[in-house]
Amino acid sequence: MAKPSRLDLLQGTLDLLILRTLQPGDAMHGWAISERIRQLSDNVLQANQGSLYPALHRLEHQGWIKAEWGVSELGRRARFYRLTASGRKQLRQEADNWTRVAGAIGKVLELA
Amino acid sequence: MTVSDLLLRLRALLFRARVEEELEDEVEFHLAMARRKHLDAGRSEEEAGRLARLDFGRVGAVKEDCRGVRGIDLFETALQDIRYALRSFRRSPGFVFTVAGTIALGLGLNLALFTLFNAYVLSPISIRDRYSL
Repeated sequence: MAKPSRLDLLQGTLDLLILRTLQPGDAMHGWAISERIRQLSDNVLQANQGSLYPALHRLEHQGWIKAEWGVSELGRRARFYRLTASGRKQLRQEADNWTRVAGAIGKVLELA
Repeated sequence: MTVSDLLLRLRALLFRARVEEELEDEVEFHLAMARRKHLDAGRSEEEAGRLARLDFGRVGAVKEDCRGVRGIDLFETALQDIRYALRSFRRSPGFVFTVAGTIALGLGLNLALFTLFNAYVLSPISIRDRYSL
């Protein structure tokens, strides 16, 4: 059985970040996605890089991203991920959701 | 369950070795890139490898989680159990012989008795006076 990892609390969040990272449409491999998330978040989101992969595979099973093998900048074979049409839809939904929840939590914190 | 999920599960089931190899390659690639990043930052070869693994987390656990996503662990566990059973059969052939013999005898006896019971009680020939035959 899968053991809970450090990022489990942020499971849905990681999915959202991956989808967002792939939004521009370029195919990216896991390492590039992990680096992009780290850079864009100013090193805040850098927990366990490994937990990226189960999330990627889960998103692939959902049909939100598509994987294909290609040759990376190192000249090595790498698995590249690309957002699908349904993934794009999912991203819009989840981003809206996140903004709403974050806004609501922000309001509560201000009032309390 | 989506179509892509079904196809990926099927693929994982039919090409287990290949899918497993791909997972290995994918993780290996990530570690190689991380190692290179630490090397570029001026770390020693050994230190770079250590840091790459540290950032990644437990490789075995990550792979296990990825396998969990495939959703065919039930099948894989069953396969392991069957292999284990076959191995223990080879270790104790006497036991296998006894069990198989008992079952065979039981089945045979059951069949024989039912055939008789069926012929005499359940479906006797339907004529008025069958003892006159």
